[in-house]
Amino acid sequence: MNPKWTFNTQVSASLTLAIAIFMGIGFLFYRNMTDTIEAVHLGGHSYEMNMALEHLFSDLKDAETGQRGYLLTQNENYLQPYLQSLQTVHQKFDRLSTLSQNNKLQRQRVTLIGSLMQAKLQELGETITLSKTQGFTAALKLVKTNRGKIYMDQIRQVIEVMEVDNQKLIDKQSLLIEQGFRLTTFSSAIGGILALGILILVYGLLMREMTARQLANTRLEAEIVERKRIEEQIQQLNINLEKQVIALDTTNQELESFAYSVSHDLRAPLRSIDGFSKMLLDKAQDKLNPEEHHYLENVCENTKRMGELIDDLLKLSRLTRSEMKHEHFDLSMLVKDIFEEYRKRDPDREVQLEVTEGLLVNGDINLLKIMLENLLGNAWKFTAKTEVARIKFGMQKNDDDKPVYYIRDNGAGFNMKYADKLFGVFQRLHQMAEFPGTGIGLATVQRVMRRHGGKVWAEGEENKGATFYFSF
Amino acid sequence: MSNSNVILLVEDNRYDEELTLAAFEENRLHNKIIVARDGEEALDYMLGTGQYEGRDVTDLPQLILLDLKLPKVDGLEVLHRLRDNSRTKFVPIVILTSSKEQEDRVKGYQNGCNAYIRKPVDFSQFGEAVKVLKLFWTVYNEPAYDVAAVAK
Repeated sequence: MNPKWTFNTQVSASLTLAIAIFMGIGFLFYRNMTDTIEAVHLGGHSYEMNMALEHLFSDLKDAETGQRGYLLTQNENYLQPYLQSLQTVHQKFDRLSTLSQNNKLQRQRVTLIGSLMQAKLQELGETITLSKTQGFTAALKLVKTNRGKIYMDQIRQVIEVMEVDNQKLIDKQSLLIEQGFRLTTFSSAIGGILALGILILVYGLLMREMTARQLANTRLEAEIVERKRIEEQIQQLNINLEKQVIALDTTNQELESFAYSVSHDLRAPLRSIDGFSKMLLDKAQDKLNPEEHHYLENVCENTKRMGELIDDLLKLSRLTRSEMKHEHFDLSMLVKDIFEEYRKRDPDREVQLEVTEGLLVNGDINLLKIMLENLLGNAWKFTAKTEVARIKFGMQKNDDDKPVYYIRDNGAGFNMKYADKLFGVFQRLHQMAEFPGTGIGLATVQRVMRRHGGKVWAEGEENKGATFYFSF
Repeated sequence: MSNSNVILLVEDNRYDEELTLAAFEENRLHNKIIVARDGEEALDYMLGTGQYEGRDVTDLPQLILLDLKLPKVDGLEVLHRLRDNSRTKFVPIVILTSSKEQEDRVKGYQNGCNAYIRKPVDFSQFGEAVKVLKLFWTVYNEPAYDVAAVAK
């Protein structure tokens, strides 16, 4: 069986073949039946003809016997067979004629027999008449001409020939019947065996298919069980996730109220500390020596600083909590706008800006504005002591073809060995006197990038400048 | 310019109260400052109820400095009630508070405050703010009604 055939095709082909074989056998069987019947007919026909020939001849012999008897005894009683024959002989001849109709040769012979028979009967009649009228001797003379004998012999010969032919035919038909029977039996047997073989084959195919399907079923069932198990797992995981979400939400809410409380409650006492310190400073001006003065000033300084720190922390926390809204916009435009703001705030400073135009991005515009304000603000701040301050905003492609944006300045820069400290909350690399700030700017930048699923890093060199890269 | 010299300070924190009063002193702002330490007291004063029963309510302050987080009656509630009352409707109310939360700002303006100031930590800045406030609201700004007209 061609393995490329599908199971259905295999079974269909096999069964079709089996049916074809059965039909073939049936056909053969039918044909053989008809052949046999015909052979029987033909055989029977020839047999009947032989019978008819014998009957006819028997009648003729009877007639002869009657004639002989009468001739010998001159007794009318002995004529009985002859008279009887005359009655029946023609019937018998007609019968023979009918039977030999289909065979040209036999028909001719029968015609011959007919003529011979007529002649013989005539001779017989003549002798009888002679015997009756002229007596025994005259009749005997006619008999001794052998005319009658010759006719009879000739009839016998023809009949023999005919009988032989018929017998040949009978034998032939018998042979045919026998042969046909043997063929049918043989082919039936072969066909039966083949069909049986095919059926066994089909059975085999079915069994194979069934076991295969059974196997597949078992495997499928196992898979279903496995899948159900996984589904349950997933459901459980989902439930856990939802619980976590709720927990997160609660935490977020707690954070919000914490941030709010910080914004209110921590500032009030700070205000008092600063206020009363200043008032003290004011009122006790003359009574304090420079050192005492200095101490009080430090108190004020630090409360102010604490206020700034609190404000920055609040801003940072608000950043993480707010909802992000993604949109497409021109980052280059934003950079230019922010730069303008700084220029307006600080018109005395001369800073050169180089911006790569038309850099479009997809992100939260508010968060990115805050981030850029911090980065540009830093660049602005740390180039305060540079002669010719230059700030550049651009984009480059990194190894995996993702866009990386950068802000480069030629300001104070930093030592690369402190590079990983840059982004910590309230981390500073400079003194307040050199450059002001709380150190929250870069922590803010990193947080914005994290919320966009991106990252930020920096390269710098002391007094040469710094470059801040970010990608998202 | 109105005759009334009164500024109503609604503040629960006594340190902030002291600082505000000191700031007024410092900057030589000669106003009579009435202090209400919670929302209820503020409303009582403005509407002449409770402990201020019988007060001449036509004598309205020039300016109200209102803190938001107050005990008893909340700052926003005070604001709302004062704006609801036809007589106190036009008195300038400046919210003076620690909170910078946008929510508070929006609610303040929605309820009809005239200005929203965040109290700075730095005392000198605070003093400066107070001075500017007073100057603007009581000198430059024209109120809806003159005190004399209302008295009639």
